[in-house]
Amino acid sequence: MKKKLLAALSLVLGLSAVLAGCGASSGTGTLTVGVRDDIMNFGYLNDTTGKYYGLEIDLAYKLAEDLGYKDVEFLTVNPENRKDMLLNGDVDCLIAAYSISESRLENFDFSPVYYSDESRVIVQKSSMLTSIDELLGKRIGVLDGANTAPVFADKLVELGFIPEVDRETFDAVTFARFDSYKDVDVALEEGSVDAACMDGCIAKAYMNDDRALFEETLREEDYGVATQKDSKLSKPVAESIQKMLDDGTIDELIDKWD
Amino acid sequence: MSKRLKKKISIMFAVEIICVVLLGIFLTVLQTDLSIKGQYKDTKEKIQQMQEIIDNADEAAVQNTVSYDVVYKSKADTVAYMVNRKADFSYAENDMRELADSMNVTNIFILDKEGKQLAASGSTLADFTYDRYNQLRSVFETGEPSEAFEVKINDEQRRYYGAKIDGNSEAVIEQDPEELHQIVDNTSSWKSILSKVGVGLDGYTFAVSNQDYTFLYHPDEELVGTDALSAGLNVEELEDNNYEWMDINGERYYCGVTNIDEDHAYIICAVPEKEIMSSRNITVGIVLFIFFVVITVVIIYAILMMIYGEVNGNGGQENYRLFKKMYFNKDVARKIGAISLVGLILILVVSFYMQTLFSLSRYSMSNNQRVTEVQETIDRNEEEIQLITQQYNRRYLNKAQIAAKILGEDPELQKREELQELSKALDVEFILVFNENGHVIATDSNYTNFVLSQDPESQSYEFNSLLQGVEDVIQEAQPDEVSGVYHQYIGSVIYDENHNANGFVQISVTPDRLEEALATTKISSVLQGVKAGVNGFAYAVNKEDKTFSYYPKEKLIGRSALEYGMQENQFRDEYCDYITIDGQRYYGSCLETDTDYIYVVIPDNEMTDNRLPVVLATAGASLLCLLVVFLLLTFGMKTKEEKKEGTVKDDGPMMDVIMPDGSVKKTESAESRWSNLTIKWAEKTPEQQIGTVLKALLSVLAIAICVAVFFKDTFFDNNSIFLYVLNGKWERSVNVFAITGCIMIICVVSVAVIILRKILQLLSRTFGARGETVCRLLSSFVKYISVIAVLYYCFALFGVDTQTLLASAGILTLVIGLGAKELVSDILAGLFIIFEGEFRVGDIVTVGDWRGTVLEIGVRTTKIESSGNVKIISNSAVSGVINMTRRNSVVECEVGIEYGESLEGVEKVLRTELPKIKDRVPALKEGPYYKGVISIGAKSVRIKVIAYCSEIDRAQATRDLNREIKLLLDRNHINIP
Repeated sequence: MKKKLLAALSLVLGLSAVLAGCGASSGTGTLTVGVRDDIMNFGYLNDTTGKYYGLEIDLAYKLAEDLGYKDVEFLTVNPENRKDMLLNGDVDCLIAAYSISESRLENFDFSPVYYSDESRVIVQKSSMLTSIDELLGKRIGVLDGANTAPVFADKLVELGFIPEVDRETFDAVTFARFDSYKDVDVALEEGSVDAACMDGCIAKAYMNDDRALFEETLREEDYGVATQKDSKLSKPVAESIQKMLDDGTIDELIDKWD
Repeated sequence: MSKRLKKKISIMFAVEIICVVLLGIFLTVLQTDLSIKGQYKDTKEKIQQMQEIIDNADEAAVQNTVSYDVVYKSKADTVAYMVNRKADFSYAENDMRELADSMNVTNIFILDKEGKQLAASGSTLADFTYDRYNQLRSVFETGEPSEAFEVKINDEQRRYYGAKIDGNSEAVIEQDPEELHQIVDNTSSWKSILSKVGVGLDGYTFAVSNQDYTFLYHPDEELVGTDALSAGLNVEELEDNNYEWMDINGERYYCGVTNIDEDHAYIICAVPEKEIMSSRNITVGIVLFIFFVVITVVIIYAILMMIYGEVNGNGGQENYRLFKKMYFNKDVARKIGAISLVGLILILVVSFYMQTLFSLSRYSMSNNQRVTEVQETIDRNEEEIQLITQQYNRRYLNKAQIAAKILGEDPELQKREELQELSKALDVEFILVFNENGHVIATDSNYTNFVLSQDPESQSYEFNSLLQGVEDVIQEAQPDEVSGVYHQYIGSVIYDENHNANGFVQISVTPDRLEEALATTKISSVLQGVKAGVNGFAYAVNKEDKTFSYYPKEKLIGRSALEYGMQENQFRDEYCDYITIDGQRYYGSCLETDTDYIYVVIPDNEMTDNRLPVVLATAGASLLCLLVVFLLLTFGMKTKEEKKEGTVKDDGPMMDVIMPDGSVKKTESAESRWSNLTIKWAEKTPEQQIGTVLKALLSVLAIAICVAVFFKDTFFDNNSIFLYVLNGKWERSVNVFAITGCIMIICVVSVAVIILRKILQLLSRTFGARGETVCRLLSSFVKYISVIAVLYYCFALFGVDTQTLLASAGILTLVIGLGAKELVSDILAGLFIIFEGEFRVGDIVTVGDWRGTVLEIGVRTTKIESSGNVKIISNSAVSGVINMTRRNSVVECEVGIEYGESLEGVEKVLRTELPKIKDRVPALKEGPYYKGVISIGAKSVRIKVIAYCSEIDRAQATRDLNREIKLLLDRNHINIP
């Protein structure tokens, strides 16, 4: 009787030890993720606590867990430096409202789209501007390094307001480039730009009662997790994201941060 | 004690612990569920009202903004008017500055169509050529003043208004909108909205931005603007219509969430867990304690009876009804059955009482809190009314001053058509221009030939002062003497070019906007916003004529409150009790203001709906536990009958008495009743032992309550129900609070009295006989005084007018003295017999010459039985009682012996023969003993023999002993003279 008990006990102990071992072995290393610190609900850094939160942060945690990393380290990236940081290997991947585009696909691998957004035009109501065609000849505030300007030009061409032109030199509208969304916000408030153009999720955070979004949307932005071209991570990341898309994890996260 | 019994005892106590724990868990779950359900309803109601509250506030903000904008639009319009009409309008910066100052605006600009500045009163950060300022240019299309908008540059906030001058230029007013922001803040900021929405007692409402998850409002000012997520909130929890527990700064709250999308905010109503749980803990605690007492008493009593049965030998099987191998203890079953039933009823009553107490006190407190909030709002409103009135007066006065300035500088404009234009630009009803004699010289109204009245009673008399050196007059709004329409008149002196006073301008405004602004400060509007519980509301009754001045049902407004069921005594400050209105019973609190009585009430059934199911569930669970215990106690396995010698033990001070119905009961002997010695545990009957246990348990409760009363501030926080009862802010009548108050005071006083009497007892032992006498007297005195004091206090709590009671005591004495003296003294004597325990039913007493057994102590008479005859003695006549209820009475026998007999021989015979008598006379308990020589008489030597027997047998035993002694002496040939 006693022996049996002992055997059972040792079995249980052994099992738990094995299980614990499994848990430990599954989490090694740290996944360094480049994230934004200024987009509410996507990637936002709380200055007082030093913690990031948002959809992309949660996604990074899930991804790291799925890929078997023990820890996640976040590095703040911005539209200017994110490309270099990934190329230099400062970060393993970018989950930073980074939209998939042909030019970017040349340098990086992208996971499947985890979030689709549209660029929106935001204006002050007092400017009495209501549609994109009224913006011809106006000053538009955009973030430096973001691909909003070419997208905007495409839209104008698409709508037929301007003929096909060389994007680099076209002057149908003037783009004022700013270092941060905060600066865009201030310029819009002061009137030094007549409108601002940014991704929908970002625009939402800068809306107030005195501002309006144009009904018309610009090209759809598809956010994907970017990794170095042909890196070891590329495939597992893509698979993991696909898995999360399939089992509804990402929908849940989007719903959570909506 | 047999092994079997020992086993049973340990099983029973284990079962008791299990029962108490199970019931405790059951009650806690039940009560928590109930509290949360109640809180859920309450919170949900608040959450649902939130949209309406916010809409109202937004509406108020819009109103305020509109009325503000109207003023500044008219200023812009006025500037445009001046540029157009005044030939010599100066574009110089100095003059513009002066104009801006006189108009109380930050800056005035004249802009061309592109937004270039043609003239300015000062510099600005704004670049009007930007599209940002397109709104200003809308005037060229519409011709109307432009809608206001705000621009913030370098932390400087400015609000802009434009008015068209001509096709190429417009007047623009730049205004620092601080005043507006302040007004809007006062009416529609999160703080002003949410700080008024209280949830529960300590609960509150706060707002979190749904954009960046910072606190938009929180009662803790320091949290405002900080990150809500780092304070412990979860993004998942912040969903519309979500009700659950949340952690905020480490404290748990029960929260309801609503998402107000247009304001980009989550509104959260939070009630601290402490509040929900504190009432639960006390309720569960007390009910559980009572259950514990009942079950303990039942078990201990049964066990004691079994032990007693075993010890006294009748623990055999005669009480047991046998079912095969099981046995059923009939005697124990009968007794604990009765106790269980009483216990169950007690549990039922206590849990009903606790539920009532807690729901009532909770709602009382929350009603009181709402009332206090109303009071605060009313106080705040009074300030606000003044503020708003001042604000409007200032605005109107400014219009009058501008009109005076324009008309003074350019007398050409003092024409009807021009004044019409000016009225329109200034947005006033009409303008009157008076000359220095008080005659109207120009106006766009109908009062063309108006002259200021010299009658001090007249409305226009006040304006005479403008001709005597006063600068401005702002009259209060009142119905016009002529037309009866509500108007407000404001006058300002006109100065001519030489700065001499030259008549004055009077403008008329309809104070609609002021009225609108003040509408939210009216009592009805305040009361409309008050929500108590789910269906509770607030209403007001006019002090003068006792009519409803506000009631949610409109048909009641203006009707007499008395006709609808309210009572006269309910019209007073701090009233807090049931109120019946229109057939519906409410529980409410009252607040007295200058003009009204304001009540916050909650429907009766809402408070007590949950009570019965909970009470029944509690009783059901208790019944189940008691049933299990009962069965375990009364049934047992039949075992080998243990041969145990029934050693008849000395009963100690206990003895048998025969009750009127013939049954034999144990009682304490008369002498031991007054001795301060305590009876040994083992000598007590099971009833006395259980009495002791019960006393101990109740003392624990009493001491606990006593300690709680004395250290109330340490143990309970402000909103505790306990403190609510102690603070006594409830109605003095027969209600649950008064009963609770009585229980508390009885506990405190009895604990104090018991301690005092114990001290006196100790003292009496120290100070010898005299000390004992004094201490016993004091002790008795303390007892009666405390009873009278408690009675008096309780009467006061129950709302009996104690002053009258005292006074009427005098009258009562007179009545007693005259008529019912005998009756009253009988009743009092009866009370004293019982209180002092002179004798009890079953005692053998001698009153006067009558010796017998006490049958009954009645209200008026005492009945004493002796050999079938009953003597009825009035209680007042019961005096000189000899209580002969002692353990052993003495049977005496005296006998004379001739001198011829040898005393030694006689003694020898007695020594051998006396013990044998006991066998022949079973009534004798002890003896007989030879006690020596009483007297040496003339013819004989008298000796004494005594024996002990029960008092009841004494007479017969004496006769028997005498007979036996005679026979004994005869047998031994001892001569008796």
